[in-house]
Amino acid sequence: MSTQYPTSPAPHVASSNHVARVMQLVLIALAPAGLAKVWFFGSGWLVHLIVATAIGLAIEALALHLRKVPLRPHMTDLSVIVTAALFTLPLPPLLPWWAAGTGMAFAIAITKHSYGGLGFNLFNPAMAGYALLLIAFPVEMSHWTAPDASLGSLVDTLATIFTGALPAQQHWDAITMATPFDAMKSGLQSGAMMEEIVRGPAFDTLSGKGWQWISIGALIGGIWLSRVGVIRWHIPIAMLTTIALLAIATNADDPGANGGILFHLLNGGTMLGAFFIATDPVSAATSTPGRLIYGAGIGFLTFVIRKWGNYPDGVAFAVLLMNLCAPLIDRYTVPRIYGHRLRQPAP
Amino acid sequence: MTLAAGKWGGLTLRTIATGSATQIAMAVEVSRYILLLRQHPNGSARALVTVGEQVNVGQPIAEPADDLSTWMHSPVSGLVIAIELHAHPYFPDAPQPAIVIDNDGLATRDASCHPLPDYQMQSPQVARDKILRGGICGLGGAMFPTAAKIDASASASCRTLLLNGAECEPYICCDDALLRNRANDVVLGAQIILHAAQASNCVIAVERDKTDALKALQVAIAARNDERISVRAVDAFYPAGGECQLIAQLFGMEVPTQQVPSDIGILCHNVGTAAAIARLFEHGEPLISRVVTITGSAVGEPRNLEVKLGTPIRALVKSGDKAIERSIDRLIMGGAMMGTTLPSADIPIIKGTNCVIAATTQELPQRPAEMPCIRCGDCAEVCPSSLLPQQLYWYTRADDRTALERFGLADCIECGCCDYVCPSHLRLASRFHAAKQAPLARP
Repeated sequence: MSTQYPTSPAPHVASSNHVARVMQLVLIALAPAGLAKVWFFGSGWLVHLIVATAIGLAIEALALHLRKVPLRPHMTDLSVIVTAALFTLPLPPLLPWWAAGTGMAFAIAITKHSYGGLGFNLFNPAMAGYALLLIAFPVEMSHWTAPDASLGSLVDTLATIFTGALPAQQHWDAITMATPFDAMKSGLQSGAMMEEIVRGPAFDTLSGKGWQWISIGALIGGIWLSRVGVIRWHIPIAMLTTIALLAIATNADDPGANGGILFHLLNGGTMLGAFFIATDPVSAATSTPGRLIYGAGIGFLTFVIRKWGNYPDGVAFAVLLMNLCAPLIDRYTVPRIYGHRLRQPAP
Repeated sequence: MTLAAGKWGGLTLRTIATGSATQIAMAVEVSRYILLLRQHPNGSARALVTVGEQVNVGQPIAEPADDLSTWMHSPVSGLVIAIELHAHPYFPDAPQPAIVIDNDGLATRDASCHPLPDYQMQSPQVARDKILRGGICGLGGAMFPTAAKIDASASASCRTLLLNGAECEPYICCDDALLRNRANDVVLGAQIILHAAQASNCVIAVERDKTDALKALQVAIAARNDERISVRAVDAFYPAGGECQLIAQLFGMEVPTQQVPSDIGILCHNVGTAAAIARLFEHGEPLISRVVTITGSAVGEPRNLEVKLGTPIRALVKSGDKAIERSIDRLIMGGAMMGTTLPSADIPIIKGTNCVIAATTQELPQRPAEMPCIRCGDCAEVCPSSLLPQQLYWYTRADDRTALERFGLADCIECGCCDYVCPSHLRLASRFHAAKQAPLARP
């Protein structure tokens, strides 16, 4: 006779937030940077995004199946698309599809699922995939089209990405150009001063041509992302402040051999890395002081790799190195718990 | 999106419109009352009556048998028809002994119920004994025996009495109604506790947005012209009414871990407890009823009712409207954040019941399936104890007792804020609760 009501543990209410919504907001925030990349470097990013998403989802499904995890909630959490977007944004616009696919496959199969899937990865999957390409395919990864190159139609872009061959009458030398970092490296090696280098074709009024707008797009998206509460300011601000201080210090020390603050902040992966990569909560440090240390560490390593390393940019490697340190940072930055280590006057 | 409030985390939760719940109405009398001997989950009283015995209103029917049980009194006059196992809110799978009394409707008052208006002439010990024999316990929900708490605070020579009127759970408004309508009782109760505990001053804390309650208290204090008692408005957030959170907000002090407020000189009681003490001293009425918020969209407008202990919840959620009654999908005793779901409406009101929510599925839907933790850290942002729930989560998975201790599992107040904000819908509060109960794996 008695009606039975379902029982469940408290709390009985919850906010409407969920993982897919977080991912969705990240994707929206990436739009300005993505549009800037398409505007300056052509539709290649969109092709890469589709290829990486397709391969990523296929591997995700296979990995979930092998791990005997229910497919539906994980396939619809949008995390693969976020990884694909972050992984493909820094890729050269005409990179062959198999290279993009290899990086994405590595990101999802090895970096993500072999560590236990969403939430369990030690390294940021997008950066691990990107770093693999930098090491494995240095030639393909250096074919950066010039920001103002005439790239032809979407069909030409598709043909180049899928066949590896440029359309007839096109030559890599004609449409590619040194990235701002490459221009600086080779310029300095040939004895040029920084002041001359930044007047070169790879540069615009603020910083690298095209790159400055991708960076500003990432900055705008990132600020919005922190306003909607998906990321907190500590990691980006710590990273950007560290890079800015090092840029100011080295530039003041020797302006001829060092890029200035805008050169470093609005070039390469600085802004994307600060707001979208370093803030990946899974692989970052988690407490407030921990996040400040973690962000500053990424900024420092990025700068060191840029200045003294062989690779043009350092964000990916800096992130991966700090991913390694995150558990250690977490261990030593536990916030003071209520009622612990008190220093209060007697009542 | 929920907002973190202030230094100690917390949530700003949508409060449910109180509507007609500003008044306190009398609940309907029922023909049969069920008095669970186990009121506090870890304390059981011993029955003093036998089946077939006639009892009067306020007659002692059970005595404390351990540190956490209290005296119990018959809420009505009538016949003890059974002492049998009955469904219990905290033990859905294990029925507990209860005294069942059939109401004769005569409301014959027991001769043992006598007031103590001249308590100030008596020693504090006399007042404490009166509170003990009156069956008073923490009406905020914890049901800790009040007399024992006052004893402990007197021996710790607490100077400050803190009456907690900060009711932060979104559905509950019984203390608000109590303060609006019976501020005099609360202030008299404060004076009695000050005497019984030999404390020197009393702060009554109420959330800033409860202006009517604040006003009523000020009027009541002015009427008694007692300079020892003051009212303080506090920030309205969840869990502002947590003892430790309230002390931090009011006094800038923290209760040291593993200690209680009396260790830092503060004696905490709920405003409802103070009002119950006032009725005991003024009218000789032991704790046989309390104010309960009856709410949830399956009962229509929320109400605050003076309910006799032992009233089956079925009698309270009955609105006469069959269509509404049939729509109850979930029944909760307590608040939406920390309350207990009830499997059956036969479960009776106990001393700690401040609220009954009869909810529809639309109102309180079942939580979605858990996803993996993405370590977003929202939980740490809202934790009022400054814990890192995302780390505790990992350590409960690994059952790493050393790390759990280091990361302060014992300091978790199980408020559920982390659970509420978790985008992966992890059942963090119940996970931490279970981890706390588990015996230490290693010595």
